[in-house]
Amino acid sequence: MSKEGRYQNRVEFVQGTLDMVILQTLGRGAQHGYGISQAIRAGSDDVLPVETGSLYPALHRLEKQGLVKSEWKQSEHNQRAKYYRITEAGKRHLQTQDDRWLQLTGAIAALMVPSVTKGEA
Amino acid sequence: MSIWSRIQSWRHRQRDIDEEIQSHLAMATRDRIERGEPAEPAGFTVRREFGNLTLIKEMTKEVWRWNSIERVFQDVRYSLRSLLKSPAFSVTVILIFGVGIGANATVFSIVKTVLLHPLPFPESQEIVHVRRRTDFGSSSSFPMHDYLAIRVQDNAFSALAIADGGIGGYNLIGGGAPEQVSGMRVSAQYFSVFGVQPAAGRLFANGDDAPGQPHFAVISEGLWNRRFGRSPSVVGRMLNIGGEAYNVLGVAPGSMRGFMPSDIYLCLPIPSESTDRTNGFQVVGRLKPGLTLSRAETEIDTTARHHAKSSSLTNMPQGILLREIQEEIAGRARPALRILFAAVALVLLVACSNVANLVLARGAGRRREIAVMAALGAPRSRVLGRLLTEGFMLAAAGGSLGLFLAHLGVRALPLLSADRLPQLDLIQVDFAALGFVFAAAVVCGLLASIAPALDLAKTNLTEALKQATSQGGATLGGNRARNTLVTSQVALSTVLLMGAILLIRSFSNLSAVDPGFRADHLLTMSISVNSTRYPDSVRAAAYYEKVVQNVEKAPGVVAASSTTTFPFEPVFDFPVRPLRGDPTSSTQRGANRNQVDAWYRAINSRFFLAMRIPVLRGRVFDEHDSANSAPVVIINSALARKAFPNQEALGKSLVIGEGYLTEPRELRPRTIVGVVGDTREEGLMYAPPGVIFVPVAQSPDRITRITLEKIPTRWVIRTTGDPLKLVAAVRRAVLEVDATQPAAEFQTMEKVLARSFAPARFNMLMLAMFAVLALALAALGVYGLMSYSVSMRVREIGLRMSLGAQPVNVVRSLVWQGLTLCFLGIVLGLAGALALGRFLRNLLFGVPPSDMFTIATVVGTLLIVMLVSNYVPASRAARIDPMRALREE
Repeated sequence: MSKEGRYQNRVEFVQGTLDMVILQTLGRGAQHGYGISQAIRAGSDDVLPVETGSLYPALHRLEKQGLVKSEWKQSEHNQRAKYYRITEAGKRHLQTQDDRWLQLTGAIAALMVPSVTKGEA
Repeated sequence: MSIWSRIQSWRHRQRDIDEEIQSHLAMATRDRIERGEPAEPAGFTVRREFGNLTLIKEMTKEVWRWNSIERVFQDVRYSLRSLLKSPAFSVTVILIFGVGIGANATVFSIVKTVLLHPLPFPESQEIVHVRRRTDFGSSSSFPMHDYLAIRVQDNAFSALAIADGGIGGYNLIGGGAPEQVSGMRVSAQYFSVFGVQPAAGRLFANGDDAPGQPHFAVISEGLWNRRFGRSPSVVGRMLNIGGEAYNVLGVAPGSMRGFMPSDIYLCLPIPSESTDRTNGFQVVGRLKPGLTLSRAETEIDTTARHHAKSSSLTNMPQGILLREIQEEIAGRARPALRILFAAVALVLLVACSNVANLVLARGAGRRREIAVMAALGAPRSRVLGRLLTEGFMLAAAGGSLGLFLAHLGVRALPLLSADRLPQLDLIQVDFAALGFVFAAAVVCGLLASIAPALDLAKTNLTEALKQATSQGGATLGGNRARNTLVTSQVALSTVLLMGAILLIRSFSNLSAVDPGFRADHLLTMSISVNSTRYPDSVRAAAYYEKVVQNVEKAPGVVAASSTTTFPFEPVFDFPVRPLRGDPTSSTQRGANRNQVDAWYRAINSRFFLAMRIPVLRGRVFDEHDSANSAPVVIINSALARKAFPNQEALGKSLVIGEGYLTEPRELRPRTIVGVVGDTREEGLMYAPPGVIFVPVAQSPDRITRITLEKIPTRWVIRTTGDPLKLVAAVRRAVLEVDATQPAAEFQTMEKVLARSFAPARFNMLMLAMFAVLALALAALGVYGLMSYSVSMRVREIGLRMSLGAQPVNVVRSLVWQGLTLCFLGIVLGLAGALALGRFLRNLLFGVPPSDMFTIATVVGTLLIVMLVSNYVPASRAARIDPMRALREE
């Protein structure tokens, strides 16, 4: 894939969705920042690259809001790393965000589809 | 959570984030190495992929900030460090701010007290002076007869009182050695007018001033402290005051000093009827709450006019007007204080502009530091925030210094003003001044840092980083800002210097005015002569004559004489009818048409010798001018011209006091035996008034009695040496004549004279100080700009000199460039000064606001100062070694 092509296929995170994706990722188990960024990238087939510039502020914002908790642990490679874990509040938050996400995407899909048909017509 | 533990946890969090990101990088690198990449490039790639490390750390830490307080702490710490690194800069700025703010806070304290709160009384806007309308405006002097007429009107005032002039001296016996104290006689409601509470005992109450009451007195808190050690037992005590026994009712509070200060207050018995029409009293009142001044004035004016229709004794035929007492006090000082406040604000502007320039200069050197900060990811707002923090910290330090200086300044005021500024002792640096200083500091901080901050924040990062040496970086925009600042400093100080020199010229004109007598080697004193002991002119004259003879025996005394009042002291305006050698005019008919007013003085024969007033024609009084000899007078030449236009006054006669005096004997024509030189009695800036001199023995008894009751007899004593050295001898000599009549208030006439132009002196000194301050700051600014431009142009100058330019020419061209800016400033400043000149007109004497000599002096002074402040740094250019300058990189 050419450099440009990769860029075109990338999707910018919609405001607020990064939090959701992080929580979703942590729902599968505790993970450190690097792990989270790898998981998101892998889980989205490289479509969603996580800018570290957004990831860490987002993680700390979530921790400040009490949606995640963190602790220092040894990683699988015997390295000290800070692991984040979703809290009960985080799970509840994820649930409501999930519902809102479905509503939002549904609404956008409904808007987009007719315009596409119009354009083709 | 306490602030401290928050800071602790915040520190912990910062370390935590650093470690977390470190571990991220380590894991990413490890992954790449496991995939087979070589270690070193892997580390680089990971770093690059990660992005701006500092910015990300900063943004993550940002999440944990609360109320941006940490940021402020950090900025403060950073600024402190940065300021401590350049102590010379910091100290200079703090000093400049301190002096500027201190001067402003001092003037603010004066203005606030004198203009806004001139009276220390509750609801002081309700306290009014009742004044008679006259042909020339209005007068606050009032006769008892008219007071009784307006007193019955009770719609306007909640309290109304009458008081005698307030310059009376009384001999106080009891509670210590006899002393002469100041006193005034007031009616019962006097203290109610001012709304004060007693410090002890009680004050006068309604009915205390009814005829037939015993003698009541209230003493001041000052006298209570001084003479009675605040003993409560003074209440109810009997004191001998002016030869009569008074029952002390209580102590008036210290705030009574705020208006017509007095040591003792005697209850003035108010008769039910009076034919006394001498204008010897003041009437003060307190408006009923909620009543406007004009409404009250209408009420009282109607009453007065109504009375005037039916009374032939009234002195208020044109009615009454009311004036707020605080307005009277503030009004006199207002024009001068406004100008001082404006002047001192200009000084602050110059100071701010100066500091802005210093910060700009320092900023030029810090361009790289800022660029590095920005390159490492500091947002632009952060850079601005740091610069503003620095500005505010400097301003805050300057403000604290200013507050301290203002405190000293207010203490020093009496030295400048010779105690003629109203309410001087009430002036202090209070909370309002604190607020003012705070506001001034904020404005200073903003003014001084906003321009440099903008200049720095728009710095082009790459350019600044590329400039490897700390030299250069002087952008054209920055220079223009600095030039504008310096020009404005020169212009502002031109305005101030112009004002100061105009006032100095006025003052020197004023002090060059010949008062008409010699004030040097002249001692003055007062004796409160007991009018029961010396009830008529004959006995008073005999006593005075003995005092004169005894005092003149003291070694070093040349001549001594009593007089009714000193020069510059309020006196009786007295009607005089000249008899112009035309027999019909000596009849009563047409008397009013010929009457002129003159100031009245009863004196001893040695008066003119003591005062050194020249005798122009005729003779002075001698021992033959007694009560039984033919009545004689001496007049000054101003009265001679007025009363006898185009005639020789000597040998003619005149009648005095028609309308006041009743005894036929006192209304006899008095022969003019001498004409003496004029004295500027009303103040040096005014033309000399007409004065009539009468021997004490021939002074009408009525006048002698009234003056003895109201004012102590004044004395002038000509000496050969320092007048104050004779005080003890003179005091003894006076007591030898009559042990119950002590002399007091010893002073040199020079001091009396100095007090008459104290306000002019005060204004001049203040404005001169401000002008010197502004000029010094502007010179500093010019000096700084020139040093800066020389240091920025070392290479260019080196190049020119290596190509053969003479050092002299280089210096000359630099100085010329600097002076061009100064010329512009001076021209702008002169234009401003001429435009503002009309505001100064009232303070000037004998010099127009656009005086050419003053303009020349201002331009000359500025040119010299500016030449020096340009030349000194510019001459350094001549010492530049061309080779070193060119190599320097």
